Amino acid sequence: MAATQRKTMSNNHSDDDGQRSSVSRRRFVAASGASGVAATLAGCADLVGGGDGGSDSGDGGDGTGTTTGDGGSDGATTIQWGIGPTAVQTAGEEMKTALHEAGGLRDDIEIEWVPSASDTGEVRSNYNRILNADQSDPDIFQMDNGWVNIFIQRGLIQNLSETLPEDLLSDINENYFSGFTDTAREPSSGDLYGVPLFPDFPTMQYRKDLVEQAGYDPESENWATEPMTWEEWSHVVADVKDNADVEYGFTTQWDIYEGTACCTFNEVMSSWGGAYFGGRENLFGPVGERPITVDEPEVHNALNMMRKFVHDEGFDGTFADYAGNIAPTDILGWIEEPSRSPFAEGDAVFHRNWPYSLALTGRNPEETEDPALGEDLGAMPIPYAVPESEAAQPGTGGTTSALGGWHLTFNPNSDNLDVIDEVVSAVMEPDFALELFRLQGWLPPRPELFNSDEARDVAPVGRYMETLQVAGENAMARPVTPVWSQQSSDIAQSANRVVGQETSAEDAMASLTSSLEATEQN
Amino acid sequence: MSTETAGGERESRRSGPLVRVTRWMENLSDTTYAYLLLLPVFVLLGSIAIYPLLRTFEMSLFAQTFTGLGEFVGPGNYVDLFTGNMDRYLPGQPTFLPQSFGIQGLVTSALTMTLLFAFVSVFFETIIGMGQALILDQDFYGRRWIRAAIIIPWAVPVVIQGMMFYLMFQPSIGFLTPPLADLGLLAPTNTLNDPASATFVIIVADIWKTSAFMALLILAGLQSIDRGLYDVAKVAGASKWQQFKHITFPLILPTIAVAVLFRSVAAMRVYGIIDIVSSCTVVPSLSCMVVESFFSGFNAAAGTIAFTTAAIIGLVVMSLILWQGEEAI
Repeated sequence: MAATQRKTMSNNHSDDDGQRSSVSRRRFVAASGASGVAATLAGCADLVGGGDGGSDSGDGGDGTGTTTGDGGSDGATTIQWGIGPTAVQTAGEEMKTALHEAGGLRDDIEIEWVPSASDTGEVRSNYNRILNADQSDPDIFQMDNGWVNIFIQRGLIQNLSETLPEDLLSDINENYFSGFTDTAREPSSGDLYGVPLFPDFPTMQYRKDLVEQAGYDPESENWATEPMTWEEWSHVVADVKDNADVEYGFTTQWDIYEGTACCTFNEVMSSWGGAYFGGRENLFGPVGERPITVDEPEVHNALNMMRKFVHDEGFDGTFADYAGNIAPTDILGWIEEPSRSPFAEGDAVFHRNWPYSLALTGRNPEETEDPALGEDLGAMPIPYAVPESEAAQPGTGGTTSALGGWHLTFNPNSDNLDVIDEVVSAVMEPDFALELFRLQGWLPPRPELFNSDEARDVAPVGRYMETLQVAGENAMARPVTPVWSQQSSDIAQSANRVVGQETSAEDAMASLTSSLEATEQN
Repeated sequence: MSTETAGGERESRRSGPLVRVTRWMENLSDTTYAYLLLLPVFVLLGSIAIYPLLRTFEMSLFAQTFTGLGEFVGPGNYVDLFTGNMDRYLPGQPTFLPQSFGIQGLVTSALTMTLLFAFVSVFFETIIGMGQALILDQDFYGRRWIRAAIIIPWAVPVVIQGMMFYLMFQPSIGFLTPPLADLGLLAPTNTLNDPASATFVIIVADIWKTSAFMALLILAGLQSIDRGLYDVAKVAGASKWQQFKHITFPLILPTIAVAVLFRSVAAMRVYGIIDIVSSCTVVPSLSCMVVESFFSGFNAAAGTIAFTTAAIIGLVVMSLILWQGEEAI
């Protein structure tokens, strides 16, 4: 290339110069002058034309623009609502109808879904970017209770204690799950930054038909409300799998992502009596002063048990009484939806997931095109290893469901803040909450409604209400502080590597301890 | 416009603003004229590239806290980056400098991982690209079609390319994982979350895509070689290998240097393919660290790493230029 250039240069040097100095410069001025004038004329014509259009002939041309403009002055407002893609696919249109009919939202307020990502960590990055750039839409963000706190601390979302009407605020203060609502508050001032949309408690979901074929009787053994030990449960999984033509025994989520740190690993660890930062009282800080308790025998056991489930590893007989080889190595790359699909298609016996999975998988297979199990779907509390009385860390042990759930937060740069109160009021309507429960399996955020007969009557999730109540009573929040997002990716990576047999639980937890110490000291 | 009125009138007699501008412009020196023409580009670059760059640099001079930007600390963040104090703002286990010189230390370091990726991928792309170029330089039937076909991977968008490789190597559905795992090249399970295996897949994906780019650049160099030189070589009895060694290779070396330069700069910035095939926590490249820390709201950390990355790329480019001298540029 360089050689070619040199050759051309030497050959054409003189000609080039000669042409350049006389002709091309004038041409250049002429051309740029002409295009400049043309552009100016075009611009003026546009301006003049546009101005005239306002009075008479422009109606046709500006048709669409005028309609929207007029609509705006008449009060039709479109609210953009950032939401998970699965929810929109499942029942996007129905949710809009429910907002107007069950929630009583004015007809001139229209909702537009803005689907984000299905991985909560990606949603967080996405919203962080939007809010940091002072973008004015979406107006509403559906945020995971696990990271709303980070947005509050950075001052990126609207303080509702300052703007919402007093009656709505006191309704939330008095009639909502207070532990869940607290994750939407600024810890020191107690100001509210999010409207709780739904709390989320995962359960162990299973194929009732296969379990019964294998000779178990979930009804009389009270599987729905009485948690099993992991040991007993592992034998049930192995037994049912051996008796049925299914590919997987147990599917869950263990990818390197937020969900492993906040939820699946947290649940198993807590059911063994372990915790990240000592007992329950240290969940939300004080950062830097709380103990780091991941390099403890109960945490090693929790990880090794998962390894036993996946690889049937012996660990010198520690898990000799457990059944192994019941979960595929695929869980190491699975988040919620990839792990649910084999279960919904009938290829797995047990599956750990959130209530949305009960709503989707519990649909009558004849009424939906998606794979579903209908009445063959059962649910039970997540199994445990040590009872609460024997737990090493205070407040852990026993069946544990990670506290999930989402809040609605509001964009302080939105152009539609004036109608936000009306959307909030529609969302808080109990009938709307029941509709969300029916359509998406999103649990009502009011304990009164959560425990009501009305909720129990909502098909299909109402069938599993007893189990969900047990899960709710044993919920474990993730330790959300401003440093949690850094800690959680570290935790997820360590947990994934241990269960993937890339390192031992002892080594991984020792190095996790030192990196957690680094993030705590800030 | 002016040309229409130029008609029969003598140029020197005419007057008016347009003529004055033309005359002024015609009397400019070559250098001044060149700068005049470059002015719009400078204005554009200044407003859309230089300003954000300076602003990013400014941000990198403020302390990073978990809740936002702190006070002015000057070059403190750069010191923190090289002493490991910045590592806590990076996602997951990755660090900036290697913590140890074992495999585990090297694959979790953003710096060594980026250099490793750039070196290995550019090395193989150059070899394969040169091979392709030498073949394409021959006369054979259907050469035009082959040339078009060979460039197709280059035209595949990075997201599609990423999905292709993700699906080929995803342990439960990918058809390539089991045979390569049998050979010991990949981890049989959890493949795309295993740092060594994921790096391997990403390097292969990059080579697949960009060898064609190398081939085209090198082919351009090959075609500019005077064919007469080969005739002389044949008459003198030179073997094919001697022809390559004494004619082809020295003449395309400057072209190869430019191609290697382009590819190295691009490889040092790798991000998209990593994010799609695996994740930044598993394969930490420098750009990954910039993007991830920026998305987590750590702007000072992102700015610091971004400028350090730019400096490292600058060093690599500089050493390449020194290696090939001025001929390369």
